[in-house]
Amino acid sequence: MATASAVSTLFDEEFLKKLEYLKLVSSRMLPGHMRGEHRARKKGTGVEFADYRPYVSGDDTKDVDWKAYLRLDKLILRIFDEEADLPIYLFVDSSLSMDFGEPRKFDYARKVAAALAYIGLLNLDRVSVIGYANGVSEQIASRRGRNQIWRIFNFLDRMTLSGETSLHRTFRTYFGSKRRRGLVVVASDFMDPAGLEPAFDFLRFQRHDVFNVQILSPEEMKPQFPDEAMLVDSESGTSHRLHMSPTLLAAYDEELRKHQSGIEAYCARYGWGYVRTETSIPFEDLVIQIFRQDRFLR
Amino acid sequence: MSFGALAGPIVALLLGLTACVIVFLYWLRPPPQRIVVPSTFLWHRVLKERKRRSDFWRWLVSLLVALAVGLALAAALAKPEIEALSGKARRIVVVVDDSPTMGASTPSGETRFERAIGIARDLLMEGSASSEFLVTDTAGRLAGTEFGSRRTALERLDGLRLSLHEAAAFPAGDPSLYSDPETEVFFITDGVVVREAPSRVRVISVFEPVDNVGVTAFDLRPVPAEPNRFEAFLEISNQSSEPKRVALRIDGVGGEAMERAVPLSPRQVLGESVELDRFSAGPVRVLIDAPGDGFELDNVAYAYLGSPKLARVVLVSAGSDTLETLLRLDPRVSLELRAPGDSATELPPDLYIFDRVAPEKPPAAPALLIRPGAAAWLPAPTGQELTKLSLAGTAREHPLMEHVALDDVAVETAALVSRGTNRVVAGSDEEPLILVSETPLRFAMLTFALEDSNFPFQSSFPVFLANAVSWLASTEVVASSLSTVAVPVASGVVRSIEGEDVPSRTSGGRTSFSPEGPGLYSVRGEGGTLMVSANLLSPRITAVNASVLEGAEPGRIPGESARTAGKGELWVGLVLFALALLLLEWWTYHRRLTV
Repeated sequence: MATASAVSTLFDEEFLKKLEYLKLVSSRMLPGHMRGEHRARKKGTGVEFADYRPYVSGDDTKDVDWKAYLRLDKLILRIFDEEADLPIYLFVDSSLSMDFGEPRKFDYARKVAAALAYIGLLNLDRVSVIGYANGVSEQIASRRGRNQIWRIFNFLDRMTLSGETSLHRTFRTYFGSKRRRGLVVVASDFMDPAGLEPAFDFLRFQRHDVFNVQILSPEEMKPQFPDEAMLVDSESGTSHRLHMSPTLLAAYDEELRKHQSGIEAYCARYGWGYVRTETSIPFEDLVIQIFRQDRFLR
Repeated sequence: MSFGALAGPIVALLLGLTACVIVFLYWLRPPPQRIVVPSTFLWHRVLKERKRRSDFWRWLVSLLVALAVGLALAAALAKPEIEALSGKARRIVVVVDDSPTMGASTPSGETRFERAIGIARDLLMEGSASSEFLVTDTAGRLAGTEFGSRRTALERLDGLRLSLHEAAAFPAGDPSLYSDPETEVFFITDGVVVREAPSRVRVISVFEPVDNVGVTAFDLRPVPAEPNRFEAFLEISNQSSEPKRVALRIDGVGGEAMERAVPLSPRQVLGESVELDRFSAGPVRVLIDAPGDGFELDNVAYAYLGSPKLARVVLVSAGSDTLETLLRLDPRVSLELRAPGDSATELPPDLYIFDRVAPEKPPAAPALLIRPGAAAWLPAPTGQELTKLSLAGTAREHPLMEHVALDDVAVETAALVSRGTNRVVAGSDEEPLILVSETPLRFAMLTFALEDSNFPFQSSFPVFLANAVSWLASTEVVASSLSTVAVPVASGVVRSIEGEDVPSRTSGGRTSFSPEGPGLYSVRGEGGTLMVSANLLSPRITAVNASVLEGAEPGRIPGESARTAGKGELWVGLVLFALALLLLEWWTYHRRLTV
């Protein structure tokens, strides 16, 4: 990884070394097309013996246990556990609302995606990175093998902001074509005016494992405005005239809490992972400490 | 509605401009700051759940409040007046009687004067803001007849103090002042000293009867037959409606005291002489105390026993048997003889007599000079000689000439001197024969020698000489009322008997001051010391119940069934209203009720 800094400005070498010790573990074991370090339930063409079964017409004759045939005079097939790779779909919110915070929420999300992609590739998983706003805006085809990390880093580095957020449309677009079930990681502020439940329901019906990382800037957590302000939505351009007051701020705080607890409750109900963070929290701490606390990495 | 400070059109213009400026400023209010946020998604939910107030109504209410505040303040500047609220504009003259009898107490404990001030203050609070007021008094202390604002009138009233002058009269002022039908004139008095007022004046009585016993006369005199014995003549008047037992006390400077109780029936005036044989020369005080006395000013009186019992007289003469014999025969005189040119450095005597000798400098004690000759400090001789003169034109009221008959006195020759500022007590101003001077040094001067007249052979000469010793050797005492005292002392320093300096003025060789109450005052100047006994000693003032308003209801304003309560000024109300609105706006703003 000596050339990491030369390729990407998002991560330094020290940071990447720390990530090598972390493993991404999916809450479920999911089958993959290619062999990886995750044991899948699917029996196939691996090297580790699993069981026997009688030969039926059409089976590959190379799996026939000829020694057993000589002893038993029966055609018996040897069955091996197939070592499957884990598809990881990393969704990075690239809507205009991510262009806030210090560092920007967008940068923060890209770091999350890069870290997870790196660990996924280390584990020989198949990693896809998708930038989305009002649908899939850009993506990189699923990659496998640690050498692919540079392509992903470059992709993340070139990713740009645009448009409004629509998670439901994004998932419908992306998973509309046949995709393997896998771990869906969404790094976003989850400020979707259309609501999150239709999108989450869609993922749930697709039987994906989901981990949501909600990233907010401090000004979203504790907004500070003058007494009278015209708030303009960065995505839609709509505006709201506000006469700021302690009660209004309290109402906003309450609404934000409801929004966050709504996501958290959904995730908990279906065994999904969820973590929320602020951009003011150092990214390394987030990865090493907050992910550990939330049992994301073991 | 009228305006006290500005004309109606100007007020309308002011109000219009104020409203325009406020509305314009509201239109110019900067738009709210545009702030781009990641998402208004949550804010939209918050605002949807909150009961929204219309921005327009909020703006309108805010504008109306600002207009109300601005217009109220602008209107306050114009001092508006609404007759129903602030009363009508009036011209009110308040004359306060500040004569000494107004110092008498009333049953409520306050003095008549204090009650008069209270009534005057109430009168000044009446009328609208544009009303004009004039406060004046009966002692003439508040000069001027110019009307002014309520504030000015109240300030004048606050500065008014009880006068100790017996002389008091309703102020003459501008005659039209009291005849103008638009002017209301109120006179607050007890009706004792000032008993008359012009017909249109509405007299408000503060008179209520009060018990009073007072000293109306106190004088110290030598007994005619024995000039070195003194007696006090004392007069005490009971002006109460009931008999009084008066405690009388006379104190002397040497600790001498005489006490006795004097019963007095109502309206009784007791006059008697009291021997003062035991009293030393100096201050004498009489003090009376009667139960329930309501007027203190006449309870004390002061006098000064001026003549020493034995006067040291230095006779400077080349030889005068007549003078020497007569002076030795006077039991009040301790005589010393001195030849002309014999300068002595001992303590100055009580009296010098210079016979045909003129000291170059004024002597250190009063002097009787008999044809003294020329000296710079004496009336200048013209060089002419007068012959065959008689002593006609005698000032018999002068102490020097008291009981001195000069009808048969003839003068053979006399020096003609210029009278100057001195007083002629015998002869004429053009041909003075006997002159006296009070300042800077007290002296008497005969322009003729005794040998050049038959005066020494007249029976009046010993009397004249005795008068000269009495007048010149005694401390001069001036009896005065409590009005302004002017004494013939140049550059005098006035001190009370307690030793406190009293403010005084000097002009034209006289020192004047106003006594702060009954007492003894010393006036020390270039020509020696003069004592002033200032006392009330006025039967007219002691009679505090002799009022023309006896029977009148105290405090009642003639012609009005009830006093109208003082009304505030509308502009003050407008300012308070504006402040209240600002407070309300501030309170609601900070509680986010109007935002």
